[in-house]
Amino acid sequence: MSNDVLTVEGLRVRFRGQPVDLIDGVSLSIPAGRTLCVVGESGCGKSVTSLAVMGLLPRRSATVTAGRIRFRGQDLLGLPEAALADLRGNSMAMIFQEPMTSLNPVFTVGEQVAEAVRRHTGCSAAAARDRALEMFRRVRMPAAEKRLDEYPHQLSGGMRQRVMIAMALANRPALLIADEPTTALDVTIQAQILELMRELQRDIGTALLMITHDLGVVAEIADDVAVMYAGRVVESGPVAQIFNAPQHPYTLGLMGSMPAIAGRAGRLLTIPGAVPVPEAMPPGCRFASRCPFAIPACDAQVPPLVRGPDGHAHACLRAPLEDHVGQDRTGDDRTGHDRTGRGAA
Amino acid sequence: MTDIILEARDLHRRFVTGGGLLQRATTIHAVGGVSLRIRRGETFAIVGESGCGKSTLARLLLRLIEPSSGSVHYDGRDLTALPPRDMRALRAQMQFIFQDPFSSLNPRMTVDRIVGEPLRLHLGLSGAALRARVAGLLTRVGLRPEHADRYPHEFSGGQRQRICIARALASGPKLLVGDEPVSALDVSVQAQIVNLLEDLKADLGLTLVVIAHDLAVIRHMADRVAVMYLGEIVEMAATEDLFTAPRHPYTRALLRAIPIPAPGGRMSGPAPGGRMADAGGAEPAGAVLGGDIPSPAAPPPGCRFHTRCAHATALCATTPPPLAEVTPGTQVACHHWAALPPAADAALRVPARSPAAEARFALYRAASERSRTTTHRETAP
Ligand SMILES: Nc1ncnc2c1ncn2[C@@H]1O[C@H](COP(=O)(O)OP(=O)(O)OP(=O)(O)O)[C@@H](O)[C@H]1O
Ligand SMILES: Nc1ncnc2c1ncn2[C@@H]1O[C@H](COP(=O)(O)OP(=O)(O)OP(=O)(O)O)[C@@H](O)[C@H]1O
Ligand SMILES: [Mg+2]
Ligand SMILES: [Mg+2]
Repeated sequence: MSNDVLTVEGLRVRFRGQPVDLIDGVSLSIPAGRTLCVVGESGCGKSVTSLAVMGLLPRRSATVTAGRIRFRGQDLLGLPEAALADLRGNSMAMIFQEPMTSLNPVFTVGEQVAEAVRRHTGCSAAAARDRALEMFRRVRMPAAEKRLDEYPHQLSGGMRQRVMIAMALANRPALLIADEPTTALDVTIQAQILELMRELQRDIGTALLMITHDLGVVAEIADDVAVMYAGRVVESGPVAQIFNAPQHPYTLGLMGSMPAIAGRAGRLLTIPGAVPVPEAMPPGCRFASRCPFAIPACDAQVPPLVRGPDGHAHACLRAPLEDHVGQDRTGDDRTGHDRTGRGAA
Repeated sequence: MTDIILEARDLHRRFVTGGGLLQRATTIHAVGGVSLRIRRGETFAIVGESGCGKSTLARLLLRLIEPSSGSVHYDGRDLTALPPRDMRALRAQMQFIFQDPFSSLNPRMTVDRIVGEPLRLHLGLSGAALRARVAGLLTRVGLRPEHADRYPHEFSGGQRQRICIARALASGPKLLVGDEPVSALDVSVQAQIVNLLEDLKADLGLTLVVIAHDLAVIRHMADRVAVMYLGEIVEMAATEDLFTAPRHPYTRALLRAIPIPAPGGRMSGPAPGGRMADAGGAEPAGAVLGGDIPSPAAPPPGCRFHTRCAHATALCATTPPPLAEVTPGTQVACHHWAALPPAADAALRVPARSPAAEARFALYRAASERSRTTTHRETAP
């Protein structure tokens, strides 16, 4: 517990003019040197949650209505903006999906990394440039020294993402938030970048919060997983539990809708409908409107997040499904796909 | 004899860029000598990394752009030699679906005009017959016909891709070419569109050519796959063969780079821990392919992959390997394919799902099929 670099407790965020809290009681924690992956469909609140942690929510339209965010024991929500700005890019860093939007086109990438170092350490320009070069070498930037003096548009997508990682890690942050850092990259470049992040994390002991929609990336890099749906964590736990014993119907729908790299296993599962908008948020379980297992009780109450002894938590009245769904149980361990199409008894 | 619907013979396409006051013009050889034959009724996939020429090839196949040299034959007719009028008539049979459903729809046109245009153009329909046909097409792709008077911006991304598919189907095509048709879509929407394309293919007897960079989508959908690298096909094989017995070093590197969605999957290979640290010698089983793709403006001589290939020799640096059949149905462009480690060893290995997980997925599938037939529709609202 005290080992946690980041703890988020009961976070609620509301956007101006909306009738409900879009982020509705999210709790997360990440120990030093560990990785938490957050998954969920588009619009589930993954980015809003991470922006809240970084103190980067738009002040005019978003309000944190409840909850606590503790970073190395310090309460971030009570912190004045100047103190937050000091943490950002220093002990807390963030990488976005599209590096072009976070790199400045009129400065060389070397200048930008050096500036990030100088702002937080106050070292000399020469020392900052040395540090930038060192980081470029660590992220295995091809022709590192030459690249320092190039502009973002002169680099490939993979190289730009390396610059972002170099900048984010230059000050050895205790927490790194990466929002879909490899989604825009080719699979071979993605493999390089993931390897790099893992290696640097090992060296620096950074806690990593990674947002991704790629289950392969999750399996590869996560220690723990949080599945988000419509502003709530509906299932969380150690990565092996999430893959080997998924509980929440949303987790099943999400995983089943992704084509299996292992080979075709029948039609893809689908989740009907779309993530509800705040104006039409279901009162109980927010997934109830799309859930094939929903019963009236699911609309009547918000299902509590029930945590098992193994750290695996889920918020579903119908879990475990095999105990609640009126269907004869086969009971054996065969995994043949022919069973999957069978209808109700 | 297999029934070939589309054949490309030694297609080349060069682009000249720059050449302004300050720059010398550069020539990009985007597609460099591609030959392939697509069988009627199959799903044929083209995969490769960004910039390797997939979109250019797809456009060449339907003659949306002209080749620098080479030819394309549809049902035995040379498209590249066809006069414009005949080409227009043939267009009804071959349709294109773009990656970005946002920019490929005219924002000023209502859905019924977008979908109706090919009906008027190719079939000469109008009035009530046209409206009925549009309504039928919208229903077919899972949209509500009563939304026909809306504009594209009033729809979600997945619905817009459905509109694009309805438009492509309007002229009664036999061949659909999709350039990353599901890449821009969110996961649950992607699944709906993949299922839709498969249903349409089965119901209408279509031939599908799908460009994708997501190998899982390809393994799910495709019968055969062509792997491209820097404008050339390096391997072409039946999908299962490609994943279980990959031959080309680049194909093998691609498969190794896929993160496996099972805990411990890819990392449980023979090279635990820092795979880069021990990348000095011959490629370890889990080695990550190093470096970036060379610029297509200055591709390496010889085999274009030799600069990143662990098996390259002097021969590879000078002489391009031909794409040759190495086993029935599998073509590979590599001088050393026969001397490489056994193909089966390079197979993509994915641990099976746990029985507990499998049982719950089965419950989900059964329950969602039941509720789909009773209450829900599979479409987004
Ligand atoms: N400034 C804002 N004002 C109002 N609503 C907002 C604002 N920013 C985000 N939202 C809404 O909050 C919801 C969650 O958005 P968020 O960006 O966190 O989703 P996400 O899970 O990161 O999705 P994606 O996978 O597409 O990135 C969305 O419905 C979005 O429209
Ligand atoms: N109209 C054009 N003018 C100049 N160069 C072009 C043109 N179209 C494509 N190219 C170049 O040709 C090469 C192949 O491009 P293409 O779009 O076919 O690749 P791709 O495999 O589809 O890539 P992606 O996965 O990024 O879509 C690239 O180097 C690209 O920059
Ligand atoms: Mg986001
Ligand atoms: Mg393309």
